[in-house]
Order: sequence, then C-alpha cells, then structure tokens
Amino acid sequence: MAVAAAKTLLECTDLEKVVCGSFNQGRKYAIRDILFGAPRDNRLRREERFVLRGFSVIVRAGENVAVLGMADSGKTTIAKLVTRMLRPDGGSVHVDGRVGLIVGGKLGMNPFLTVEEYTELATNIHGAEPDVAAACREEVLGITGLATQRATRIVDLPKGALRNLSLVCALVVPKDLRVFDGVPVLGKDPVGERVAARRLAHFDRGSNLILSSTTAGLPSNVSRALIVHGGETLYDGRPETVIPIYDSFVSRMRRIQKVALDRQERGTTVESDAEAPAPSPAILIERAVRSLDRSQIAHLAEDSVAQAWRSNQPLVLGPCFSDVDFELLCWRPFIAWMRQRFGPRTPQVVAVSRGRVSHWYAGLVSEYIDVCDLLPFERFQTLNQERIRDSGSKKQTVISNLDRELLDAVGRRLGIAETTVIHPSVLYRVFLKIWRGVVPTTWLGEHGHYECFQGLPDGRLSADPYVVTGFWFNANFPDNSRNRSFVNDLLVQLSRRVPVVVVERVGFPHVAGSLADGRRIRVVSLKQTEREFSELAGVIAGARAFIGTFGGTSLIAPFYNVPTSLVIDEPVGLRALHFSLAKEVAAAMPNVRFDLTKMKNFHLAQFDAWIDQALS
Amino acid sequence: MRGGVYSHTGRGTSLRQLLVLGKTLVLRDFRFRYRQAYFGYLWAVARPVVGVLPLILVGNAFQLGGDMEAAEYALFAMSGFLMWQMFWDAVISPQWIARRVRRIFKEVPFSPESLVAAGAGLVVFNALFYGVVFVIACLLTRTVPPPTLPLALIALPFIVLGGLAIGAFFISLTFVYLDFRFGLPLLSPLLLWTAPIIYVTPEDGVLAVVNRWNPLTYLINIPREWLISGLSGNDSLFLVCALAFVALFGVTLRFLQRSLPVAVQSLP
Repeated sequence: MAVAAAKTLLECTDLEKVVCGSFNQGRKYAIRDILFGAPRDNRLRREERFVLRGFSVIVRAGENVAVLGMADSGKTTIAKLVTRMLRPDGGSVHVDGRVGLIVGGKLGMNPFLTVEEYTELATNIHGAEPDVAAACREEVLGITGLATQRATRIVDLPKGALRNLSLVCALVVPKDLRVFDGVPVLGKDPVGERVAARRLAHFDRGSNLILSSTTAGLPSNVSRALIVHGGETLYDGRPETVIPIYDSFVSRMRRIQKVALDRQERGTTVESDAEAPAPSPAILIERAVRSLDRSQIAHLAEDSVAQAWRSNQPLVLGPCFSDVDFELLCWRPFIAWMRQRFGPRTPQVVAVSRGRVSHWYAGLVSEYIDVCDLLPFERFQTLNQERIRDSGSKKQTVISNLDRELLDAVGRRLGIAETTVIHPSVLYRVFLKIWRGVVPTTWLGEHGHYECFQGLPDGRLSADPYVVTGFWFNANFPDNSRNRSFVNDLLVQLSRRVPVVVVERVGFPHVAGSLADGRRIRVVSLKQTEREFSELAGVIAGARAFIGTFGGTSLIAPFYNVPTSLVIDEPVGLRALHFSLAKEVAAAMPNVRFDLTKMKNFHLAQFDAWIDQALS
Repeated sequence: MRGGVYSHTGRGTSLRQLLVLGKTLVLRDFRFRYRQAYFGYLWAVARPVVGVLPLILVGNAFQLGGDMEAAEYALFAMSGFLMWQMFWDAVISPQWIARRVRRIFKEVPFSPESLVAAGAGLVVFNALFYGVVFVIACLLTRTVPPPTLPLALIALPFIVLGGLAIGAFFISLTFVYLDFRFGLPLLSPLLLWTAPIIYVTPEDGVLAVVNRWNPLTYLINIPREWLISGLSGNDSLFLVCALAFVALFGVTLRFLQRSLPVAVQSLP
C-alpha cells in the first residue's frame, strides 16, 4: 500500500513522562533538574508519578493516526512531547519536518493589538515562514471574516468574532505534520463552516496526529487508532475496531464514575460496599473487544497480527497441524501476505507445522520447527486425538493444551522465555465467520498471497514420467456406484497412456486397490508417520500431473506447479468454501494448471485433451 | 538515567524566522505597555535618560571624573552609562519578554531562541533613543567624535551579546521562581559600580583591583574610549572579553534550549 512506503514523519518509541503531583515540590525538582541535570536513575521521586508510559506511535506522510482517551489520559502530554514543549523522561521522539500543534486559545492575545497585529503575531508564533506570512495573514482574515476590521483593536470587537482566530492561525500555517489536540466543535455559522472546511482539507491530505476524547469529528480516513488511559496504551488497532471499542469503553467508564460519585455523595465507599470493586480500564477494554467479536473479528485478526509482526520478540507462527486444506489455502498464503504487507522482520520468524514440510514455508520464515522435533510422533497423535475429543472439532479454533505444550517447547528449543505467537485460531475464527456469511469471502483473497512452494521435498518416486491419482470418498465425493465407475473408467483410460501412481492413505476409504492387477498402475500406500506429508509431497512433486478428489492433500499438487485436475461431486459444508477459495487460488496463479470440475461437468473425452496438454 | 531523546530532521526554524518572531514579540510588548499610556513610547527611554542626570551631577560634585572638566565628564559619564544601560537592557530584556509570553509556552510550541531574539530587539529599540541622546550630548558639549567611532559602533553588538549571555541564563530559572526576577535588578548597582562607568579607575586600592578583574571594565570602557576620545592603549583586551562573552552566549543558548521545557512544565 502507498502508506507503507511513505516517509515517516513522526516516530515515538516507548515515550515516558513523569510529573510531580505537588506544585511546590515540582518547582524544586525543576530547579534541580535545570541546574544539575535529570536524575541519574529511573526511580520516581517523592510525589512524582507517570502521566505517560510506553507510548509508541508512527505517523507517515499522508496518514491520519488518532489517539483516543478520556480526560487526564495523557493526550495533551503526548502533544507536548511531540512538539517539544516538554522533555521526555524516557523513550524517544523523532520528527522529520515541521510540526505544528493545532489548538485554540488566547495565544498572546492582548486587547490593545489590532486584529491584523494579532494575526501577524499568532501566525508567527505558529511558525509561519517570512515568505508566506503575509499570505497566511490574509487567509486567516478571510476565513474569520475579519478582513474589513483588520485595523480594529481587539478590545473593540465582540468576543464571538475572535472565537476561532488563534485556531485558524494554526490551521493556515504550512506544516509537514499537524498534531490536533482535540477536535473542537465548530459553530454552524459561516465562519465555523469555513474553519471546518479548512480542517477537513487537512484531514483529507493526511499527515496528522489527532488526539481526541471523543470519536465524533474524527475523519473517515484514519488509518490507525490508539486508546490511551492513565498514560498507558490500552488498545492499538484499525479505526473500524478501535472506535466502537472506545465508545463502549467511555460509556462503561462514565457509568462507573457516576456510581462512584453517587456512593461518595451517599457517604459510602467502594471498600465498605459489599459489591465487587469496579473493573479496571484494561478489563473494560477487553470486554469491549469481546463484545465486538461477532462483527469485527476480521479487523481484530488484522490488528493482532499487525501488532505481533511489529513486536521486537521472535515470532512463532503456529503450531498448524489440523486440516491440510486450511494450511494450504489459508494459513500459508496468510503468512505470505503478512510478510508482504509488513515487510521482512529482523527478529526471527518461526513456523511450526507437522509432516516434515519445511519447504512449504521456505522463503517465508527464518526457521521451521516440526511438531515431531518437539514431541514423539505417537505422543503428538495421542494428544491431538484428546484435543479433538475435548474440543469436539479437528479445527484449531482455540489455543488448546497441546498448542500450549508445543509453544512452550518451541520457546525452550529457541532458548528464549518470551515469544510472540500468531496462532491459527486467529485465522480460523475469521474463516468460520466467512463460512457463516458474516465476513465477505473476498477477505481471504485480500489477505492471502498465493505462490508456489519455493522448495522441493526430498526424494522422488521415479525418474520416468508418471501421473498421480488420489481418489477417496467423502461427503463431497460419496461412495456410490456412479463415482466408483467414474474412477475405474478414468484409471483404465489413463493407465493406457501413462504409468499411474495411485496414492492410498491410511484412514481414508479409497477406491483403486483392485485396479492394479495387470495394468500400469502402481499403488503407493502412505502410512501415518511423522514424514507422511513429506513422502506424499515427494510422490506428487515428481509427477507430470495429478488427478483426484478435491480437498485435503490433493491441494498440495498445484503448489508444486504440477498440472492438477480435481473433481468434486457437490461441494457441501466447509468444503464448499474451500472449493470457492481454491478457484480463487487457481485464478491467482495463472501459470499453474489447476482445474476444478464438478462431476456432472466432467467428461472423459474432454479429459483426454487435458492429459495431452499436461504430458506435452 | 532518566531522560528521553528528542531528535529532529528536515526543516527547522530559520534565523530570519526567529528575528521576525522576535520583532513581533517586541512590538506586542510595546503595544501592550505603551498604548495604555498618554505619552506612549516616550516612557521607554525616560527612565534611563533621567536616571543618568543625577549621576552626572553627583559625579561632578564628588569629582568622580578625576581631573576632567564638567562638560567632558558629563559626556564621559553619559556615554558610559548609556553603553552600560545597553548591556543591562540585554541582561533583563529576555527574561522580561519571557515572563510576558510565558502563557504562550504553555499553549503552543515556541522556540526558546525567539526570546533571545526578542530581547535583542528590545535592546536595539532602546539603543536608538540612546543614540539620539548621545548625539544631543555631543552637540551640547561641542564634542566631535574621534575617527575610532566606527570601532565603537562595531563593539556595540558585542556589548549586547554579553548582556544576553547573562540574561538568557535566567529565563528558565525565572519561570520556576520569581526570586530570580526580583533578585536580578539587585545586580544592577553592583555591576554599575564595580566597573569604571561613571568614574575613572583609581590607581590603587580595592576598587582598582575589582575594576581590573571585572570583564565589564574592558567590554564597556574601551568602546567608550573609541566613542569619545580614540584608542585606549589596551584595545586588544576588548577582543578577548568579547570572544569570551560570545562563547558564554553559545553555552547559555544551549542551556536555554535544554532547560526551558523543564521550566515550562513547572508553570502553573
């Protein structure tokens, strides 16, 4: 996206600010700090407290970033630190270019100045360069409607006429980055409308840090929003998620504050009350996040992966060990998308999967760890069966005990105590919402980057040309006489032209065993071992073509750039979503021959031509 | 150690911008103060000009000018006092301006250097009046300035810089405690009498030693010589003092940039 490549205008990292609660004590500290420098350690002195802690934000050219927070949350402190009005007590601020603070106020106004003199003063204070100062003055007088009263002294003007004067001065002075400390409500009069239009023009252009206590008046093109409270960042994400979370947070906080006030008036305290103490702001945010789950889950997923990817800790992706369909059509493309969207990462990125498929993740991550490097295969299978039994689903929609055990083992193996994890459940939850029609199906395509595997599996079956088939019955390709007859006819026809390898996997009702006699058909039975997928990949990657039932391991073939034709009787359930997604994959990889056909449309005569092309 | 980092790249505030802002602040201050007065800007110079007259009278009576004649002493004392007044204006004007605009520091970002520029602007404004007073004094005493007059004019900015180097140091401190503002004028008589401004340096005694070690002696006395009589004999000492004050000005400016955000934080 254009924003990602734009110049960084502001970068705040772990900003901290300490203030003293007592005015007199604060002055003593100030004199000490001025004459002898800041304290040599990070300990707070008497009556000091943090008003801002660990605040980080980046604003790029053309981008609007909003910081939302109630009164005393630290917004104005942020504005003052960014504009160098205050000195940070920790962290760093880097500004590239001219930064301006957009705020109303008196700004050196005195009643004996004329309107023009004051305008000159205010625009100069806001940093108008001499070359443009006169133009700025004229623009201010034009917007405020005071051009005809430029020689009038301020003392002779009605107060209302001066309401927006200093704000307009701030708005018209050219700046590279603007910090809005609040989005003031403007009147509906012509002046108010002109000021609002000027502000809107800045919002449209971007390059703004907007600090506000309310979501009203925020521009529609905010690219990122943060919630601060008590000087700490409680939430950081996309505006689609942050704005409703903040609104919910504010209403809950106000309710709590009102209850506390009522109790105070009644003379009771929270401690003396039998009720539970009020939840902390962090808990309120968490609740607000949960209440959004139903409609905003896709945005939450994007937020969480963005935060995880930007963290400074090693990143673990996985463990992914449920459906191969999901892994190939969603998970791996999602990882590729993250890498493309957020760029390469300096701290290591580790993929954890099963089946010794490190080459599936080659080029996307810095390290691959197989679950069988962490647990013996048999123990993994046992625990996975227990997981499926306990959760009632094969899918990794929650972080199970097995996941936790594996992640702990990953940490031990890497020799690090703290890692950031993106678990497949993040994507599974979105995937299930897509299936239920809550999130549009296009989301997966927009958040997936489809490409062939960059590596190849170890060992191929044969140097001679062969075609692999993988037919097995399931709900989408039921075991009936029509489908059996179809597979038989296809294998007979195929084996007349080219050697055929029929893949059989343990646990899948297969169809081809009896056909091998007397024909050029070889049956390869894959056992459930820790290398199962790697061996299957070896067979498929060496083939000239793959033909089989849609779904599961059949989807491996196109990612090895092997011409693939998959059939399905009628897609039902989640497989229907996989089917439409596979079509998108086929469209997204035009160089790969990947055909998906429903049984009713499949004609053996036409298939001859397909196999001709595949073998040529 | 506590303390974050603020770094900035790209376009910053230009010197021209600072000077324009300084000028605007001075004008604001003048307009605020003197538009409420009937005699307006006249009050800006009345105090120093009127202040020097009793000093001249007393100086003459007590023969502070040594063997100088009355008219000669009057010009000597007047020119020295006006130069000293320029220096003193430079000491107090930055913190004067700073106190008047301190609310702005709480409202918007504002470059600390602009206070120094405004202080300098205030000094230049007063200096124009002092110049007129000096010309009148020359006419009354029928004195023709010597050929070293241009040297004296070149020296004036260094006198101002010396005052600003001291005055700017007090800006941040004045924001925190007004004691510095109240205490600073107490320095005025001390500085005036420890340098040979309205008297001739005695040949011996404590005052002679104090005069010898006081840099103001060279910063003001030597240009005064250039202004009314010619080369002084130890002119190079002015250069040494001027360079020392330039260096001090650089240090003070750095101190101001570092300390002002801390001081602003302590403003109520």
